[in-house]
Amino acid sequence: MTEQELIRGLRAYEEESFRWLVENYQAPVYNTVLGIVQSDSDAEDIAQEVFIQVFRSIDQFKGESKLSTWVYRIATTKSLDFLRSKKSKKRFAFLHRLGLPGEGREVDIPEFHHPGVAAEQKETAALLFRAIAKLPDNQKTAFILTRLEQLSHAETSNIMKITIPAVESLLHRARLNLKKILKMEL
Amino acid sequence: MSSTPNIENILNSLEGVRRAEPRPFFAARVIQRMQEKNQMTPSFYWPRFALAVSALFILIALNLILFFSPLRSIDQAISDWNSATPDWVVDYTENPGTTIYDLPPNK
Repeated sequence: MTEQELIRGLRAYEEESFRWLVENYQAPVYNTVLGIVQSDSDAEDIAQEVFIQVFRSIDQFKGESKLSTWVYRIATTKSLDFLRSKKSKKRFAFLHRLGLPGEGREVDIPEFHHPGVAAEQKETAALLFRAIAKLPDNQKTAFILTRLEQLSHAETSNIMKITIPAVESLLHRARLNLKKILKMEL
Repeated sequence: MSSTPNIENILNSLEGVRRAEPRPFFAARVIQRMQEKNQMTPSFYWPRFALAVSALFILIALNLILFFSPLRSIDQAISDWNSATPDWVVDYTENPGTTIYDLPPNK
C-alpha cells in the first residue's frame, strides 16, 4: 500500500487502512513513546491514543511532510504531555500530603529497563535512561529520536519542526547535560 | 580498580539497541478501544447537548413572553386601585381628623 493510498483509505475511515497503519507503525510509535515515558503500561496506553488521534485527525494532515513524520510528531507530543501531567499530579499530591510548599523537589524516577538493550548493557542503559528523564523536553526528544529510534538528523528536524543545526545543537547540549547528571549520580 | 561504570560507556550504551515492540494483538486492542470510544461518545455527549439546547429554548421563550406581554401601565393600576377602594378609606383621606380606629360610617 502506498502512502497516498493509505491516506485516502484513512480519510474514507476504512478499517483495513487503519489496521495497516497500526501494524506498520506500531513498533516505531511504541519505541519512541517508551523511550520518553519509560513505562511499559503507560507507553502502550499512549501509543493507542496516538493511533486513535491519527485516525480522528487525518483530515488535518496536509501532506506537507511524510505521514511517518506526522505520526512521530503526535507520538512525541502525547508522550511529553503525559509526562507533564504526571509531574504536576505528583507535585500536587506531595503538596496535598504535606500542606507545605514543595518547589524544587524532584519526582522519583523508577528504574527502567528497555527491552531492546543487550543484556551486558542493561545496567549502564538503566543509568542512562534515568539521566535522560531529567533532560529538558526538547533535548530529550532529540536524543530519543536519534539514539533510540535511530532517525537521521534531517528526519528529527522535520518531526521537531526545527533546522538540522538546531537538532545538532540540542544533541550536543543533551550530551553535556547527561554527563553532568551522571557525574552527580555516580 | 573501581566498579563505577565509565560515563562514556553509559552514554554509548544505546549503541545497537533493538526497537521495542508492543505486546501481541496491539492493533486489535487499538481498534477495540476506538470502537468503544465511538460508541461512548454519542451517549455521553447527547444528553448534555439536549439539556443545554432545552435550557436555551426555555430562556429565550421566557424572554419573549416577558417582552411581548401586555403590561398594565402605572396610571391604569392606580385607577383600578381607586375604584376598588371602599368609600370610608377615601373619607379618611379627605377628613384627616378621623383616625383609623374610628368605625366606618354606617351607610
